[in-house]
Amino acid sequence: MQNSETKILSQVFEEFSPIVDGRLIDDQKPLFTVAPRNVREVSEIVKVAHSQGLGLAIAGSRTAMRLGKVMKLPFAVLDTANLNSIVEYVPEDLTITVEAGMTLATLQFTLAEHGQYLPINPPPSDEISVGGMLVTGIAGTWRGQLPSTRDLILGATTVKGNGTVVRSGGRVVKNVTGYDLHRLHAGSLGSFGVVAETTFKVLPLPTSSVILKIKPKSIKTGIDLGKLLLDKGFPVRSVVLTSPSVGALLLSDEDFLLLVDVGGSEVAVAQTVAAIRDLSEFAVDSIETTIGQQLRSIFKGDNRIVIRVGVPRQRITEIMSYMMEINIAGFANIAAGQILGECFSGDLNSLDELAGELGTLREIVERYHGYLLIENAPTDLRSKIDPSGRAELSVVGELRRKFDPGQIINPGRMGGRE
Amino acid sequence: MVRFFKPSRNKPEPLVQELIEIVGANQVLYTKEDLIGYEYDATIERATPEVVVLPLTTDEISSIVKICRKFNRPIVPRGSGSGLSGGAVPIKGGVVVSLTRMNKICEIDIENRYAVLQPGVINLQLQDRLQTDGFTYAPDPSSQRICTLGGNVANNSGGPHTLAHGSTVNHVLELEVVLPNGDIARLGSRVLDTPGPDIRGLFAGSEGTLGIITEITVQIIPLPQSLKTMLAVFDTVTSASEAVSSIIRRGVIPVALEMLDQEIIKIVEPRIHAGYPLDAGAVLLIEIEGIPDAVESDSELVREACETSGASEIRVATSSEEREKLWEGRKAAIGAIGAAYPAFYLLDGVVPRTKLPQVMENVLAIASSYGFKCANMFHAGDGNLHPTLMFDPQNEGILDRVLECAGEIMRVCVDSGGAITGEHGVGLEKTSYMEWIYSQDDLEAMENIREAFGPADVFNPCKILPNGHGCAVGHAAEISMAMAGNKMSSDIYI
Repeated sequence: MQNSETKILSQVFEEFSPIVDGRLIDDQKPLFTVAPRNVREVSEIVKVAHSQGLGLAIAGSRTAMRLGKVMKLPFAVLDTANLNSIVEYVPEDLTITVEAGMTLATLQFTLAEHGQYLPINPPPSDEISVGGMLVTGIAGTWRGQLPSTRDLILGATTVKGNGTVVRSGGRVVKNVTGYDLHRLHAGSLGSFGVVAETTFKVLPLPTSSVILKIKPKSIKTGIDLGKLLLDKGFPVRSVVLTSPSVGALLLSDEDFLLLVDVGGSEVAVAQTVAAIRDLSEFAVDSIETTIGQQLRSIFKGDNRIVIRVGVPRQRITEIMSYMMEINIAGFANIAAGQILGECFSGDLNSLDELAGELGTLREIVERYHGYLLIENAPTDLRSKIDPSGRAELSVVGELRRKFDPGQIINPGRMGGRE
Repeated sequence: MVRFFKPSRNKPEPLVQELIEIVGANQVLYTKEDLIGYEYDATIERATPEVVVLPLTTDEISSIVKICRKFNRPIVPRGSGSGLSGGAVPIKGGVVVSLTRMNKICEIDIENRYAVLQPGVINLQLQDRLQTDGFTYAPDPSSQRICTLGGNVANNSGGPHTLAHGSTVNHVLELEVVLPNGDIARLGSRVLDTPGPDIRGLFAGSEGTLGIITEITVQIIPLPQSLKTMLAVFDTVTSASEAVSSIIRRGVIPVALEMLDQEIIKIVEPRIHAGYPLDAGAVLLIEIEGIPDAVESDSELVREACETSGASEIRVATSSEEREKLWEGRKAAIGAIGAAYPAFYLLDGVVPRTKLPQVMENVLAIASSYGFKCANMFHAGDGNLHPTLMFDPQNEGILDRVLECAGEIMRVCVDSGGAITGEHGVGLEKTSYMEWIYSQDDLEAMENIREAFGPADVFNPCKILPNGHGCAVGHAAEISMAMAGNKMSSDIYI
C-alpha cells in the first residue's frame, strides 16, 4: 500500500484518533492503531474498515499474538485496551459481564474481593485479556479438573465483520435460548468478528490451597501416581509432571517432579493432603504456592517456540518421553492430557529441521486422536508449518463468509484471505 | 402454510420406496396407524410426518438425507420423543429419522475417561453401566429413564446436577454428525480443547436444525467419595428461595439444589411417599458431594444457611434407600401430576438466582389471576424454573388461557434478566418469544449459522428461529395450525 493511500485511510478513521505506535504484529508494520472506547465505536470502526476492505488485527494485551497463521497485510490494529469496564456483576448470581479488553488479572482482582474467581490460569500470566482468552482458547494447568473458557462462557456481545453488533446467550448460568454464537468464538482466533463483551460463570474462591511436590522415579511412575490421585476424586485443581529441565528451572531440582495443586475449604485441603501422603510411595512436600505462577510463565517470551500437545491420558508417558528425545522440555497436565513444551532452535536452517520434527510428532499424536498446536512461535516457523494442523471443515469456511464477508478481521490468521 | 399429509395408502410412493431400498422395509413406517406415535413429543403440538425411518448406521443416515434432499422433504431427527418444546414435532411433515435403534454403547474407556455412544442410548443406561466401574456421566435430566443421549446433546439438556457439573455441552468431547448435504463430519475430538472454533459446542443445543448426531463421545468422571442428601423444610417459597442465595453466599456450591413448593408436595407425597412434609410451604432438596470431611463441613454451612433463612426442619438421608426416595419424589413429580390432573402445561424459564424470591411470587400471582393451580418443582440453584399449570382440557377456550398465562410468566423471567428456556429448548413452542430476548440483528446472526450448515429448511424447519422460511408466525399461530389438523386427547399436554 502506498503512503498516500495509507494517509487517506488514516483520515477516514480520524474520528477514532488513529495512532502509529511502531508496535509490530507478526513482524509486520500495521498501518495505524485505533482503540475504541465502547461497543458502538467498535461497530463504527469495523463498518468503516469493511467499507474500505481494510484488514483489522484485533489486539488485547498482546500476550498471545504469536499463534495461528501469519497475519496478511495490509491491516490496521483495533486495540481493545480501552474496553476494560465491568458491565454487570452480581456476586450471588455467580456471573460477571465485562468488556473484552479487561485483563484476567483485573477480573480476578474484582472477583477476589467477593471471594470468587474465574477458574482459569492460562500461560503465561493473568495479563491476557478476557477476549484474547476466549478466542485463543489457551488453557492452563487447571484445565481438566476445572472447566475451560469455552465451558464458562455464558454469553457475549460481538461485532461481525460488517459492523453489526450481535448478542448471544445471557447472564444466567443455564440457558439454551437459541444458538450459542458465543461458543463459535471460543478458539476461533477472532475469525468471526470482534469480541466486545463477555459473560462468565464464576466460582467461589477456595479458602485454602497448597502445592505438593512429589519426586517420582520416572515419567511412568509420576503419570501413574497422578492418574491415581485424579481418579480418587480429591479436590485437586491440577496434577502436573515436569521434565527434569523444567524442574531445574523451577525448583533447582533436576528430576521429574509431580506437582499437585490442592484447593478448597481448609478441611478439604487438610484431608486431601493427608490422603495423598498415605497414597504416595514417594516423599510429599508442601511448597510455595507461587510455584504455580512460576510454572505458568516458564516459557514466557516472544521469541520462544512453545507447543501444546493434546493426547488421551494413556499416551502421556509415551509422548512426553518422545518429546524429551527430540529436545522438547515441558510439563504434562495429566487431567487434561495436555503437554506444554518448549522447542529449541538456533537458526533458520534448524527451523526447517524443527518443522520436520514437529510434523512427525503431529503425525504420531493424531494417530491417538490427539493434536499438536503451535502456541507461540516466530513468524518464520509459523510460515513453515501449519500452527494448528487441523483440516478446516467446509462449514467453518461458510461461517466465516457469513460472519465476516470481507474477511477483514484478523486477516489470514485462521485461513487464507480470499 | 403448514401441510398435513394424509398418508394412508396402499402403494408406497417413490420417496418411501427409495428409503426402503436403503434401510429395508422393516425400518420404514408410512401407514397412518404407524405414524401416529411420531406426531408429538411431550408437549402440546402435533403434526403428522409423511414417513418415519429407523436407521441403524451413519451411512444409512447419510443416504436418507440425500434422498430427502432429492425429494425436497424436510427431515426431523427424533430420539425418545420426551422433549418438552415441540422440537421433534414434524410441523412441515416430511421424514422423521428416529434414532432409537442406534442404541449401542460402543466403547467405555475408563483409563482415558470417555465413552463412545450411539445417539439412541438412554441416559440412565449409561449411568448404570458406568457405576460398576466407579464412574458416572454427570448430566441427569429428570426424564433420564427414557431420554436419549442424542436428544440430550441436541437440546443441551440439564438436570438437577447441572449446578456443579454443567449442562450436556460441558461433557461432550466429540460428535459425529450428518450434515444437510449428507456429508459425515466429526466435530471436536476425544481429547480436550481441539484447536479451532468450537463447532462441537455450537452444534450442541442446536435442536436438530443443523444435522443429525450419529455418534457421541462424552467425558466420564469418578463417582464422589462421599455424598450427603438433605431435605430442608420451609413455610414459604420466598424463605426457601432466600436460603438458596444464603447457601451460595457461604461459598458452597451443592451438586444439586432443588425446590418443590406446596402444590407439588401435595401431589407427589400421597403417591410417591418420598417423605416430604405435607404441611410444608416449600422444601429444598440439597445434595453435597466430595471427600468426607469436606462434605461434613459444607453440610454444616448449608444447615446454617437454611436455619438462618427460617427452615423449620432439616433432615439428612441416612441410607441410600432414603436418598433414592427423596430423589424419586423430585424426578417422578411430572408423572405424579399426570396421575392427578387431566392435563398440565410445563414451562421452562430461567432467571438470575437473586431474582428467585420476587419472580416466584410473581409467577404464583399470575397463575392465580388466571385461576390455574400452579405447581413448582425446579432447579433453584440454577434459577431454572418449571412452573406447571394444571387444567381441564374439556373447558372451552382453556388452551388459549393456558398459553396466555404461560406467556405472561415467561415475560416475567425475561424482564428479570433471565431467558425463555434453561434446558428444554426453544423448539416450536417458544420461537415467538425469541424476539423478547434478541434483536433482529442477533436473530439474523443465528440464521447465518443455520445457512452456513446448509439450506435452512432441510433440518427441523420452523424450530428455534421465529418468522423463518414460510413457517407460521408466532406461538399461537403455530399451536393453532398444529391443532387444526389434529384432535387432541386429554392426556398429552405434558
